[in-house]
Amino acid sequence: MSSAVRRALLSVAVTLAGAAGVTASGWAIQAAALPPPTSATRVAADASAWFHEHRLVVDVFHFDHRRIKGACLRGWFPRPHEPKARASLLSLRPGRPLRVPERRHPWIAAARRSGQPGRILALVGCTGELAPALAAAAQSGGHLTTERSYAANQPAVALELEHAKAERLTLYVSPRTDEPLVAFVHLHELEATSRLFLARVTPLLASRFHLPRAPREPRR
Amino acid sequence: MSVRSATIAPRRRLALAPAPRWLLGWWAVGRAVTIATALALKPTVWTLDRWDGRWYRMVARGGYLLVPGRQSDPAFFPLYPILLRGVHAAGVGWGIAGPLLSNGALLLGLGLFYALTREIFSEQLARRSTIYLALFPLSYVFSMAYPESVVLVLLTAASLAGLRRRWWLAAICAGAAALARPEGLFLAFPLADIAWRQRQSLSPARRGAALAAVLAPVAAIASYSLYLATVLHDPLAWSQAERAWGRQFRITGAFHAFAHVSTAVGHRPWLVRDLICFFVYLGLLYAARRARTPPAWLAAGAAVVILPVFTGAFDSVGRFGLLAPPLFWGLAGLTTSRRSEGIVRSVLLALLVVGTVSLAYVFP
Repeated sequence: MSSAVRRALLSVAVTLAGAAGVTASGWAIQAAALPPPTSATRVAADASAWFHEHRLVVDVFHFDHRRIKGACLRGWFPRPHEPKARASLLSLRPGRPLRVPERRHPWIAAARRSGQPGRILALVGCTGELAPALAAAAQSGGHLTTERSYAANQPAVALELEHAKAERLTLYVSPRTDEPLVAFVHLHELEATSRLFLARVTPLLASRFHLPRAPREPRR
Repeated sequence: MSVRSATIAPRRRLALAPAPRWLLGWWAVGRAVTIATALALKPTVWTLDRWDGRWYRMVARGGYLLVPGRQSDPAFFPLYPILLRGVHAAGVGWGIAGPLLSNGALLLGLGLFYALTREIFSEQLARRSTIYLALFPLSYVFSMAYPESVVLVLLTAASLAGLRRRWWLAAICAGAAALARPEGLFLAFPLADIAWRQRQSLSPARRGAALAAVLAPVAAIASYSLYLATVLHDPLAWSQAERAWGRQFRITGAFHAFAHVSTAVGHRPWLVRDLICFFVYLGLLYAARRARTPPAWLAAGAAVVILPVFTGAFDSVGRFGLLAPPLFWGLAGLTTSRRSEGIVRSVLLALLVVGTVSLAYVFP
């Protein structure tokens, strides 16, 4: 091997070692200095992703000693004399769908309207309400805890989100996939539960719950 | 104006001279104007700690979390949050840690920028461009909980270390710069140029170290992806998060940005600021070329200014330009007389006040 080749190989070896060293030390510094996400925040983020991916959820509510079937659809819906806006349409059988406008702080909005049963049900039965509440709690490092539990006739993980003293949301998710199963809310003396069936929007489901067929979400 | 060759210089000591008094003075003027204006808007640290500062703090406090479909924090690179944790661990509150770190780093960054510019150009141009950088209208970002001032330190330190043949130090600084902001990637251009000029006089091992410094920004970004794969099980989480922020590189992105500019300005009138900055920066790059800025630095500056437009929008181009040294060299090259220098300083200071006031309404 000529000395020129040897010198070139040495340069290449040093280059590769240097680049590998930067990668390894960069990883090590990040791993040592930054805290990893807690299991509760990760479950909340995953559950939020499930809600984000499903615009329609078919619900079986338990509220005020009653069992109510319904469905909730997230999308852009027209308003009288105003342009379309993001909202959820909660359809309870029997009755006309209730329009729930998207708010930045769904918990607070719900608390303010705690007199309206529809608003409370939207909080446990609409992906447009549950997804931002969970995502905000996960990102802000809010008070989130998880524990092993049982829901919808199967083992589950109970994710509890405590917003204020009298406001608590418990979401039961599948332990393997974090798919949401049941949502329970306690809000100022009021309690509501929803068994969640995340679904794709089909003409059959839409017509069954008197919901619009294809309110596509425009790209943001 | 002369461009000094980096090839002949022997390996020199890295010891830097203490910052000259005028530099300290202009740093103090720029920061005093920014902080006073921010405090006039709201007498708390709020103005300097908001917008992206909130996200960096979020990463520093709780680490990364990707929430698909929502704006998430992996879009914010890890070095600045790591430093924030360090400052906080020293007993400084989260709110004040960012502005404190950024303002302190700026002083060091200006000193290194001055030394680097003096090395490439002349004493006069170095002095002028350093003052312009300290007073630049968007330099209020250097006082915020944003990583720009830290990146300024690292990118100037990496280049200086390269010029002084301290290639391992250059590799560390270049890698760290890329871990703070993706613009650190473009350091590869000037570092490659410096390494190429020194190639004949470097030993094989040192040549390897020089090449490692050129590759260090890419290696550092790989380390970030590796880390995200470890904690979030998604090595491209940062790119996914960028998409939720409306940033996605496409070949047709620039065309899209220009084609939809009137609609975008209609929705967000503040976008005019970034549009003006974009065209002013192009002009300053041309001025930098006339001032005999080395082509590799021009390429890095052009990449910092032009590539973000390929995400389909002009948002924040003004802020990104702070990390393109050729812009300040170009501006300094345009103002050779004392009178023009005085006028530029006054205009920059007035615009710095306006820029800081804009923080109450729009992100930088």
